[in-house]
Amino acid sequence: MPITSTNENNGSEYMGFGFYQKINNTITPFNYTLYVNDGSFDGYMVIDNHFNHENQYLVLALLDYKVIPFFYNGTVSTTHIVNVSPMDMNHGYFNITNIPNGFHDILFLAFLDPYNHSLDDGYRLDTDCSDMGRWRFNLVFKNDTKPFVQFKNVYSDYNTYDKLNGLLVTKEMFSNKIFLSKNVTPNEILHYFINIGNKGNISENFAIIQLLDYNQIPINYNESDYVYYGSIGSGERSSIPVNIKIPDSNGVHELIIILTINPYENIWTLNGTKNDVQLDSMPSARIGLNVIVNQNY
Amino acid sequence: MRIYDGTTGNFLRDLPAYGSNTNAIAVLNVGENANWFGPLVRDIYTYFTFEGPYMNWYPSTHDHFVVR
Repeated sequence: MPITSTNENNGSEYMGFGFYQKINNTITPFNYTLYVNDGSFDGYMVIDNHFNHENQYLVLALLDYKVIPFFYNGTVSTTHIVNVSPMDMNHGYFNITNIPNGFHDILFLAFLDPYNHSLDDGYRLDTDCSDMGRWRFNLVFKNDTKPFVQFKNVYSDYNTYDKLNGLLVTKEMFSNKIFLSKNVTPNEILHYFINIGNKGNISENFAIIQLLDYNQIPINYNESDYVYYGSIGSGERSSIPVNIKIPDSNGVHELIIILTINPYENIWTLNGTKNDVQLDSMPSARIGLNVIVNQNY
Repeated sequence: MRIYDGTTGNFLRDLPAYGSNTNAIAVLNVGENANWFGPLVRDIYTYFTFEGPYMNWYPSTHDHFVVR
């Protein structure tokens, strides 16, 4: 069975996303667990645009998996747009204030080319698990009490076990057909499924959020939960029914689901090494929802 | 590494990522498990993260392998 690579690019272009405290003669990285003194967390964010062309990035910060406003490059906003020249890096000062007492997860996400609205299936498939930088820290302020979270045991199908490891969004329950785009009408309630698979040897907790045009939306349109916390056993796959209300403005809207494995785990162990558990966040494919306003109305 | 059926576009399976030489590992895994795929053309997508002390790097595009 011959195998050929069709990727001429072969990894020569990439994006980098990182954080550090300061630059003296060398860059000082953060620890993954940060004990903040005054309820604020600041430092420098860097985006490495290792491309032969300029790119735009959109950056979000989530405190305990909810999007929050933060200061970056002179403005406070929930979304920050950063344009980076070819083969260049952008460094900027950030600050997050009003961190509540206790133990928290802070997750930064950087989306490459956020406003590409192409409905081409190849483009959409290329965004699956990709085009998103992420960086996660634990923040501890005054005490290390973790947020109280009930992880739901999700229904699992064992017929499809041992295949999916992570996130796949589909239109049908337990389907393997990835959801990439759809023509929709304003205010329609769109139903679909978030499939989570765990090929690891132990059960894993997870957190799911939904972003529509980079704004966080509820897991179900008529409910108030913005985060779905679940637990999935080893070798299992679940298919979680969710829905959104389609916006009423014409054009392509971007729907992205983000999966984070083992939220609120201690990233940094007591002996100063990174915890040896899955801690990543991964994006779904960017789903293009093409809102077509019926001109007859 | 995620594998899709190149004909139907259906998800087939995820394979674990090992090491930093991702292309070599992808070929190795496919070769070891060729019976998973059958005769159809398949697309294989890699989505690795390279972790550094203060920055992570992400390949700009998937590496596409075609199994024939």
